[in-house]
Amino acid sequence: MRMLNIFLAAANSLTRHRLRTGVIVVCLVVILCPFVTALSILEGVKRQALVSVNEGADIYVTMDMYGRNGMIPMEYAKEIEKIDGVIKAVPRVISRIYVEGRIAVLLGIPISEIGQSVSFIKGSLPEEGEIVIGKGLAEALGLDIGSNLSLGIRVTAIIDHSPFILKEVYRVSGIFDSDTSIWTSDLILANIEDAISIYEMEDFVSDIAVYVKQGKVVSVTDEIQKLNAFFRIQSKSLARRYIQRGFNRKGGIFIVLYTFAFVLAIPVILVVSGTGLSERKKEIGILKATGWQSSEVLQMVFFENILIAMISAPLALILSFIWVKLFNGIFIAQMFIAEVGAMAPFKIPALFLPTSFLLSFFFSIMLSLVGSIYSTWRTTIVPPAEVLR
Amino acid sequence: MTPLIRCEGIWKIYRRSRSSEIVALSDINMSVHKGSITVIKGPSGSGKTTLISIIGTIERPTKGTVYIEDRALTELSDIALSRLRRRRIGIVFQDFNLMPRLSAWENVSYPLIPEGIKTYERKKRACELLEMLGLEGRYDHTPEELSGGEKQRVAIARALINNPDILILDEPTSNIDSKTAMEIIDLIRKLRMDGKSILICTHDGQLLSDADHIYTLHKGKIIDDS
Repeated sequence: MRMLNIFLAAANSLTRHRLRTGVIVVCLVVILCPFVTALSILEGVKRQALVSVNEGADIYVTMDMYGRNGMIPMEYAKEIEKIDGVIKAVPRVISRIYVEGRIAVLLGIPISEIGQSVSFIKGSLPEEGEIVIGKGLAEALGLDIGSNLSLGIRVTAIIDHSPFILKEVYRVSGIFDSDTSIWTSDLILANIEDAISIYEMEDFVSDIAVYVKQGKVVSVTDEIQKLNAFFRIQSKSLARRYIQRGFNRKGGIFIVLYTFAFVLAIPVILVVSGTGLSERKKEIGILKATGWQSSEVLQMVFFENILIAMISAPLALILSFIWVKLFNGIFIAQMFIAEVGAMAPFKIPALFLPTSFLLSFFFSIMLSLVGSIYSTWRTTIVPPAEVLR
Repeated sequence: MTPLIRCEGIWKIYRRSRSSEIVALSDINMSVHKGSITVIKGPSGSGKTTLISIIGTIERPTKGTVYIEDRALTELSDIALSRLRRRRIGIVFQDFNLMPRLSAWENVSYPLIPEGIKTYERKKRACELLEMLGLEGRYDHTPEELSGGEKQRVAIARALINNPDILILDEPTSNIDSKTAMEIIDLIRKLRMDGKSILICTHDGQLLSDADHIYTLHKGKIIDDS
């Protein structure tokens, strides 16, 4: 009952000091909202990346070239397909490409494979000399179905070291729907022969995506490796691990940077929560003089901060939800998704996890506590007469 | 008879810097007996408020000891002192020290919050006290909506809410009109009749005439003890 009484006194104190409470809540929400939004976008992008990996092939095969992924002869796809346990081996060309000064991703796969993506495409599948492009690219370049697009490839002539650009014109046969993954926004999908000819790399592809029967990944990996010792084989679990590591690092760096921002925000909160500090000091003096113990005064202030956090954290969560869902993460998405401007042309993926809420609740409590508990404690240890003087 | 409160060699020195200090009280020896009215008088700045603050445990002496029933206050922890103030000592400040954003009954009942008493019970007890002090119908008024005399009575009600046996009043009649002052003096007499030990700082002649013991302070020293 004593605790409940002190808790109710804390709630009463917050309503009595409406202006002060309001200013602290606004400050906390302003600090927390971008934090929650950024975390949700980061989690959304991460989830989409993992979904892409999960839905992709089980094994990706390239050649090892100076310790990096190198081109692989396309003929190996047929040999790999003969291995026991392999469902299919799909050669792919995947590369960065410059379109009107803009970087896009070119994906070339056999037409038979493109058919599986048809549900995402507005328009028709690409025939020879045709491409399907992402909505982001289409909007940026003002393209629609039937438009022509010239693709330029930076080709470096190795022998005389003089770079030159090749240009070919392709017809846009379809556009990826905006609700598909963010990776399709700047994607150019072409049939593999066109993709190979764009780069003039006859008989070579970027990688071979291998789909394997369940439980056969290890044995198939071993068999593929036996085909050529210079093969570089990456399994789905390895890709998943890379993605998770990459995003965790990105998220970790973000949290560290934001923690620095929090630390810088503490003086602001100190100044703000100092609003009405003399009145607060006098109140504490009166409470102590009328028999409240220091611990009871501190408990009341602690409860005040819990209540402030209980208001601020959900408010920040609601606002960040609006920011992402209604305003598509305007101005903040570009920090986490490469090549996206202030206004993303596709639907920003966001995932609101309980951990984001707990983190914002925790930071909210920490900030408001730092802003108030120390000054309260300092006041409680001084004899009440001195505080009231 | 053993006094209820005994001060032995109380000194209070305020140090402003290493070289500058103000001696507010020097070697004060005095006592307050159970069920009596003890008055401390003296001109402004003589150290009256400092002395009653030390006896009321809201100020610590630089030197010396205050005993309440032979219990040395200097040996008590902050928690024990708070408990003592809550259960045995009621203090009425010269400028009332009411919380401006709280209503009269809330101001009176605030000391009961850490006792774990329910809001309904707290309000009932506070309103009973306020009614006893002639403030019926003023329970929900904030201090700024009350007159000086009403504030004084709210402050007295707050001091009495835990039914303490020691009541300390700092200039209880200085900020109010003469009619209200008479009512306060009557109330003090009544409280003495109830067995409370009362310590007052005052210049008021009426209160002086009711006193069982008067100490006169001058420049921090007791110059008369009658």
